[in-house]
Order: sequence, then C-alpha cells, then structure tokens
Amino acid sequence: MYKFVMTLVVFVGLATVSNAAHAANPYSDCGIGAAIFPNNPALAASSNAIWDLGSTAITSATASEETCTNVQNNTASFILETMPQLETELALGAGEHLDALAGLLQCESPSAVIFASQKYEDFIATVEYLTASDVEKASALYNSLKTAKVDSCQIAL
Amino acid sequence: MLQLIFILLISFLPIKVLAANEMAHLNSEWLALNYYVQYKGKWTSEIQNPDFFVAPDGFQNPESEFIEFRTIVLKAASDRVMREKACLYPARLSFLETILSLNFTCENTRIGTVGEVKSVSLIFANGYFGNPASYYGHVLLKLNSNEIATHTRGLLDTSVNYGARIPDNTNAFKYIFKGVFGFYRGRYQKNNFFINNVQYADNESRDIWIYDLNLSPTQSMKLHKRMVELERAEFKYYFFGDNCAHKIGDIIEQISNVDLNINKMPWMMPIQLINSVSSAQIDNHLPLVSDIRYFPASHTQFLNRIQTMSKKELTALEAILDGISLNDIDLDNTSYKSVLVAADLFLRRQLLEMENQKITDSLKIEQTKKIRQKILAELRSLRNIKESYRETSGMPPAPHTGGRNGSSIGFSHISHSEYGSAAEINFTPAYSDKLSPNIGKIHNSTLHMGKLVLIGDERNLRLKELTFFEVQNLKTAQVKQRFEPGRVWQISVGLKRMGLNPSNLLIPFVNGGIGVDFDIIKTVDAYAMASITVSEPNSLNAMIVPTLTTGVIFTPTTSSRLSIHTNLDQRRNGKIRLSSEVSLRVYLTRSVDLNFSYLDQSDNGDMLRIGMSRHF
Repeated sequence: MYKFVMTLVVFVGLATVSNAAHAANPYSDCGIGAAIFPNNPALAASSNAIWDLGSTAITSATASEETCTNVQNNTASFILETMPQLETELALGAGEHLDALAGLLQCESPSAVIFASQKYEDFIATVEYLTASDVEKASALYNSLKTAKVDSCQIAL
Repeated sequence: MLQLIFILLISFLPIKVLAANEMAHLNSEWLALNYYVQYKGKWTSEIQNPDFFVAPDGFQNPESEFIEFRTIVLKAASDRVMREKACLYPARLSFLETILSLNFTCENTRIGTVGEVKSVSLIFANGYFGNPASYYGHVLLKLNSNEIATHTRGLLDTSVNYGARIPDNTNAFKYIFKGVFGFYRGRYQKNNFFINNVQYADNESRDIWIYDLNLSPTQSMKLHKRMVELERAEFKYYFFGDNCAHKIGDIIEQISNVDLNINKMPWMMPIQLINSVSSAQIDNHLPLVSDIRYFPASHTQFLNRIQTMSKKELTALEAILDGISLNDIDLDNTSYKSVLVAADLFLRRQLLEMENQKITDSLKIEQTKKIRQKILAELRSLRNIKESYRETSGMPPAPHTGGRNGSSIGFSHISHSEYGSAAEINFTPAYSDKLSPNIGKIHNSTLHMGKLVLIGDERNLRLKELTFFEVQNLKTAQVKQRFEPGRVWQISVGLKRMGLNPSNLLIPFVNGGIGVDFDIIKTVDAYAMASITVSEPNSLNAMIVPTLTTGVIFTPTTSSRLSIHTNLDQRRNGKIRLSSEVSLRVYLTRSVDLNFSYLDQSDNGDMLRIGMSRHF
C-alpha cells in the first residue's frame, strides 16, 4: 500500500512538473512586470517576482512565442492593471471588468470566472493578502484561473 | 466602327494604367499617407524621423519613396525580408492594391498583424489638474473589435493616443517652453484601452465620454491600418497647435472625408474637436457621431452614491471607514450593500493616493487594507442581494452641448465713479472661467492662456492686462470634507495696469493662492482662499499684497451663472482694503453671452461693467 501511494505521489508530481514546463507565468516569464515599468529596473525586478498560491510552482517554463501567447499576456496584463476593480466585481458577482475577463477567456458567462477565482477569493481572506504587492495579487488570481478546470471557458491559460 | 472603338479602347487602357502607376507618387492618397507637404515648390514630409521611409531621400521625395516601396512590394512574394519590410506599411499596401495586383499576404506575426476593427469611437476624458498638459481634457481614439454594447465601454478594445515624448525629470519651464515651441516629438501610440481607462477613470478621477463614429467597417479598418503604420512615425509636437486634438482630428478627417475645420485655427483644444465632430455630417446628411455614451470616473460614482444616501447610511459609511465592526451596522441588507460598495470605492481611491504620495505609514496602509478586506468578504456574502442604490443622477450634459470652443472676443462699457466711462475690449484664446457653463470642463475652473484686455477712452487706447496664464480651481464637491477634501487654489502670471488711470504703470505680477471649499447648500459652491500677489511697480522694490477672499458661485437658471466674492487685502501703507464684486453672466445663445459686474472698492470708488462676448 505504501509503495502504491508513493508511486502515485511520484506520478502526480511528474505530471505537474511536465505540465508546468509548458505553461508560462507571464508575470515572471513573459516580462509583464518589465513591460509595465520599463524605465525602472527596480520595479521591473520586483514586479517580476514569482508568487503564487503554492500549489502551482512554475519555474521551468522559458519565455518564447509558444509559451507566452497573446492570450496569456493580455490576460495577465488585464488582471494586473485592473486588480482593484476585479476584486470588487468578483465579490459583487457582476461588473464590466469581470465581463471583460470572461470575454478574454471566452467563457460562457462571468460566473465561470467567479467559480475559477475561488482560490483567489480565499486568498483575499488571509493575512498574506495584506502584505502582497500588486503583482503578487495579480499572479495569485492568474494562477487561480489557470488551475481551475472550467469547461465553459474556451481558453485555458 | 465597333472594331475601331474596341481597338482604341484596348490600346488606350494599358497607357492609362501605366500612367496611374507612374504618377501614383503624386496621388493625393500617397501624399496624405506620408504627410508630404509642398513648401516653396519642394516636397517634404511632416514625419520627422527619416527611418520611417524606405528610400534614402524618401523624407523629401514622394517619387523615390513610391518607387522604392513598389520595388519592395514586387519582391515581397518571393523574399521574406522584403515581405516583412512591406508589411510594416499596411495602409500603403492597401493603396498599392488599387494599382498593382499583390500576390502575398502578411503573416500573422507581430509585424504584420492587423486585427479586425469593426468601428471607431472618439473618447473625451475630462480635464485634470494633476498635469498642466491635461487641463483642457484629452481626446483619443478607440478601435472597437467587438460590437458596441451601450452599457460597456469596450475595455478590451485598442486605444490610439497622440502625445509628446517627454524625458523624465524635465523641469516645468523647460517643459512649457519646449512644448509651446515644438521641440518635442509627438507620436501615435496604440495600447489596450483598459490601461487608459484605469489611468483616466480610476487613477485620475476623470469622467469619460465615448462618441461613437459613423464610420463603416471598411473605413474603420483603413484607420486601423494607418495607425499600425504611423506608430513608427514621429512628428513635431506643439501644445497648442499640433497636439492630441489636432492629430486625432486630422486622421478622422482623412478617413471620413469630412472637413472638421481643424486647420483653420492656430490652436486646437480637445473640446474644439469634440464640437467639430459632433456637428459634422458625412455627405451632408449622415451625422458623423452615431451615439454618445458617458462613463463616470470611480470617484464620481462614489460622490453620486453618497449624495443620495440617507443620514443613517452616511453614518454607517463613516463608521465602516473608521473600522467599526461590521456586525454593529444596523441597516437592512439592500442599504448595507450600497454602503459597502461606496466604502469600497472610497478605500480603493485612498489606497491609490497612499501609493501615489508614497506614504510609508505601514500601519495606516495595513489598517485601510484590513477594512477593505472585510468589506470584500461581506460583499461576497451579499452577492445575491440587490442594492438599494439606484443611479438617479443620469447623464450630465455632453461636452459638446456647451457649444463653446474656448475662445472669445468681448466688448464692455465701464462706468467708474471716479474716472468716468471707458470701453473695454478683451480677447481670450483657449479659455474657460468660473462663470462659463460647467460643461466639458472642470467645474468652476478658470483657464486662461494669453488673455488680452485693452481699454479705451477719450484719451487713448491702452493695454490694461495681459495674462500669460491663469489657472483657478474652485471645484467643490458639496460633500463632507472627509469624502472630498476640497482644496481650491489659483495661480496666475501676467502684466496688469492697476486702475483705469492712463498714468498707472503696466506692472508684472505673479499670484498664488490656496483655500478650502464649504458645503453650505447643494446648489451653492462656497470657498475661502488666502493668496499673495507679488508685483513690481518699479525696478527698485517689489510689492507683496496678501489677500483673503471668500466667495460663492451658483447657477440661478440653466442659462446663467452668478458669482459674488469679497477681497480683504493689505496695501503697502498698511491699510486694509475691502472690495466686493458681483458678476452675472447670461448665455443668450450658444455663442453669445451678456456680462454684468459691479465692483465696490473701499478706497477706489465703484465700477459697473456691462458687456457682451462672442465665442468662436
């Protein structure tokens, strides 16, 4: 039984790593932070810091045309720029920014985005949220959307 | 006979095609695409960076640029490098398609991508006092990839701005000098509209107006291609002439073939473009603007909300912002939700201000974040509850309905108790003042750039005042100071003759003041301001005059505004002078105003002024 559990853990681990190798985190790998603060290396460096919910440690993906698609970049940029508005609208369950995010991910309705943001909404209630930077929050929401399996959205991050 | 006609046609057709091809460099579209203008018989382009052109002398030679570009296009089918080069110019390619048969397409690469654009909107963002270049508002284009939905602004569309490239840490004088005299380079820049929206509607609290243009999908795509092409072009930028309003208007004119009169004035302000576009018609029958939509800034939304709140709700709002336990709030769920939404809007702004002002009080920041954290959790729990708040303020008058382009010439008759009568002529380009209608401008603000006042009597005609610039912010929010800490302020620089007597010298002055606004009643804006005027009556000593001003401004009818203020100032001899002025402006038509004012000065008699001003 012990061997079976260990084998399962190793397989799941490998599967996660393999998946991670193909999926970029735009905030760290595609230079979203650097693009937003092009003239300030300090800001660019800090905004490129990787932060996520802990369940999707992505460090191996390399920046390229394939890994940093327009959808990933646009979504990451949209989340980072409109974070306060998105937080409010996620809490309310409606709003223009939420509709736009649903449009970016080609979801049938904004409720799919709300469902996929569950992890992020849990994160808002934590102590870590109070000290998280804008990029860290954006990265957390991005990862929440990425890891949630929502069939009603056409685009997977 | 038919055979003869046929032979003639056949033999004539290739010559015509060849001629069109050979003379294409003088085609008006080719000239417009590359901003060629003729000066003293020689061609030159308004585009300032030679690397925009493919021919070495393309900057000054439409023909060699055309021949070189045509050569690139003809090689593009078989040469990838040439194809990439050609694809940098999607608008030129469309033009060449009318002459040549092109047999290649631009691949879906970063260079050649021209996504679909279905329509175009012109955006007007209200004036903003955080940046002198934004005092008069800003215009930009929005390229709409999706169908326009009335209640959404199209956050995912593409915006096109025209602006100057200004190096960081440029000091104010250098900035103004270089901006006025064309030392900066301007360029079109495409961006995600949501970035502009955050900047204007959230960070800078500017209301947004969307003027949807009646351009066909073909015209919209044509405009998009121009923008892709022109992103690499640099122009001379002038704050007053070749600015955002002029260049955005220029591109709308070119695409729509509608004359917006943008080249008839030496200066161009955003509101002028909005007025021109709003009154323009395509082919003299179809309005250029199909719809106008309004999106209030986040802070405007907050102010609208608290102005409709009951006392109980306002008390609850303040308690929430003070960090009281949310369990202690005694409101029904629908009201509670409305109050929470308002509190969230307020805290978002407060956190943004803390960030902008680089406040390092981590305890205060953390406290604010904690309150917002609780509010977000509460809002989640109330997701299925409807709010009690209903938007009642509606859409304020659209900027173009003011009908003013911001320039006027006025004539007044003055009757002074000591000096007798005189005539006054004033010319005010690029202006608005506190008595102008509060439409398309910052409320109760005054902006003057180059105001000129002449006075004439039986003795002579003389300069009474030349104001280089005057900015006065008397915007009041009519809400508690806590929600909008109203700070009124003013600054002006110019030359002025004190009094009407011709023997009075024309003296330079600088004035600056700061004060607060008061919440008296909803229809009255009241303020108090302390200011200092430094003037130099002769070269030996400067005169410093401290002044305390209190005033009210209100709108008795929809077509008039009234201002009353009193000044208490200390003269050089130590005496205190009291002066009071009542001013009334009546808007007779969209372009004509009647002005009355009565000034009473304790040491200098009283003066009545009756005049008329014409706006253009």
